[in-house]
Amino acid sequence: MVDLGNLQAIVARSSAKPLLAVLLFRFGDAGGARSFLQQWIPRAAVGAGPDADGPAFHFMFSWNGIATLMSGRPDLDVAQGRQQFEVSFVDPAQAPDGGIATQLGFLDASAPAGWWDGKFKSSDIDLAIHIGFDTPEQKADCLAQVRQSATGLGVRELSLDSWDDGALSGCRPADGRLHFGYRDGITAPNVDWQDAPAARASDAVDCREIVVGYPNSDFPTAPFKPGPWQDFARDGSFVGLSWLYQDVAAFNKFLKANAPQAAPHVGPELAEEWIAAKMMGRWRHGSPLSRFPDAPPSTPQLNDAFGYGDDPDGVKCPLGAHIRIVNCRDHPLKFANQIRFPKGPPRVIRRGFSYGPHLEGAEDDGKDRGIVGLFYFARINEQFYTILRWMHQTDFADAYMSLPNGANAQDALTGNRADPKAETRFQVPLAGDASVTFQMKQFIRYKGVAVLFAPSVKALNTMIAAQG
Amino acid sequence: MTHALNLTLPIKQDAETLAKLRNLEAIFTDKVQPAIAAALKQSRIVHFARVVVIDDKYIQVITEYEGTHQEYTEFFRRALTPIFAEIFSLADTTGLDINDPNAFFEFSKKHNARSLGTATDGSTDISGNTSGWLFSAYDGMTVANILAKLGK
Repeated sequence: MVDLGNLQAIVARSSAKPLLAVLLFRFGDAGGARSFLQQWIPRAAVGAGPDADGPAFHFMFSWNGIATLMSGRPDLDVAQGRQQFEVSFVDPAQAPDGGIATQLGFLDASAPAGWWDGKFKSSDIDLAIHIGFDTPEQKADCLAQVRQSATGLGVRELSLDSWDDGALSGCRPADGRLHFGYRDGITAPNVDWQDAPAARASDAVDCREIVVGYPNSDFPTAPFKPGPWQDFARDGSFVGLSWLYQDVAAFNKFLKANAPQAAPHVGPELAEEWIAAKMMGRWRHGSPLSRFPDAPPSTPQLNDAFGYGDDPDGVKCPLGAHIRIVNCRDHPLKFANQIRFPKGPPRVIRRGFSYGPHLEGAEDDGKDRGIVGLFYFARINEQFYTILRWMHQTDFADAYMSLPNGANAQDALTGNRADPKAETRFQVPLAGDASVTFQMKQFIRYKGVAVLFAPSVKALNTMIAAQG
Repeated sequence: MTHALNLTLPIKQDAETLAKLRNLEAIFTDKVQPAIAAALKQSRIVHFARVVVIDDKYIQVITEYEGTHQEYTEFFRRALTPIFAEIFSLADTTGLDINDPNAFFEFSKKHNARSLGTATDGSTDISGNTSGWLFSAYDGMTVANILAKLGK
């Protein structure tokens, strides 16, 4: 049912472009913004085909950006659009840096006041352009061209001077491993783009989980009401753009300091790896604890077909493990969440890249490193915000109530321990009634989050078309 | 953290609406009340709930529940869609489609009356502002914890 040719490529499939960047812009007048986009939107990468040579462009807009471009159009009244898009997209109070920031885990060192290096606010972003490059030379040339074009047309870049490229930029690690050493990109939703429930694989995800424009009672995406704004939004996705610092030194120090606690159970050689695996739910080379609970296989076993039905107490994969929270699979949700998610827990498509130099050991070098995450979904509050809340407070399933202070427990890797009510102990059950408990540290910090909209190809063309 | 919902809707004063109100009152004990109770009991996030009519001028849905408004408004909408439709039909609901989560959220936000005073437990309203006062005799203990202590 979904025409993949109408989707921006970054939503339709993953890319192998090795170098990536995200440029952030604030529009001046609508005319200049439209002229700028008329120059670059024709270069958008679209559909599910393989990467073409050359830079691959991908465009994302805030509500303010859309409103600026669509202002004055008789066919798409901006006031109506504001009512019909999800409130989390149009209402600053419901934005990641709004009044709800604390419930999403954005407090203390992750508070919005410190985001974007203090240079600008999330609400200043009208447009984000994600670009994939083949070579460093291509990247340098392309960034210079885009910037020259923006400057000439009154579109202001929200630059980040602390980055070498003046913008969020990084790479796809050749071995797929991110800074904490974990292999990334193993799990991805198997989206049923054909919308054929009868023929759907058991692990398939309804396309309405990823794109808007086809609302039904299970996936009541916004704009819900049929009409021009729903037509405009159809085949678009919301994007959670997240700049995430990883404190590698603190992470490595934690593993080393706590290895003696783990050693009696797995031996000294495997102790650090065992703790890391319990925190993620996978051995760092990617094999899941649910299938390999005692030791990592000699070669990574990445078959993703596993669940938690045989492990309700987390003896194999702890309840607080990262992958068990962000994608809880067959783990039963509590009743209220079963009602909210009748077709299963929320899923998102993950695209993103690693940034900053590699660090070995437990001594910090003061350099910035982490992840620029781009998460794609159809419902902001019910997917992106919900997963953020669950990482911050694991009260989403009854099983967590069996943990000490389990309603306030957190994701072992990403929990924000600065919340005064947070449970900072991570309980790792062992066979029988035994367990090991670790006193957790802060391993990540949010440095900028924005919720944007990645329009369909048709909508991108509407945005740059002459008014009227 | 316990939050209060003080949903307060002005009742339309035409004869048809007042007749609907009389019907709601007539069926409430036998039909509406059990349906609400069944959903809320299973949820284990709601402390108390009641529906109040004031002089045929206002109808209130008042609850004290765990979690944030953003998290559980959609649970209430999905679990009790026909009941909210019945209650909301007494008020001016121009443009509201009860099946539209976005419209339901905005409608609930608009009609949630703030309690007087200031929350002392850090509780915030739908927009993230400090909530009004809500007294708790048990320092915000959760429904799940209370039930567990009662062995339920």
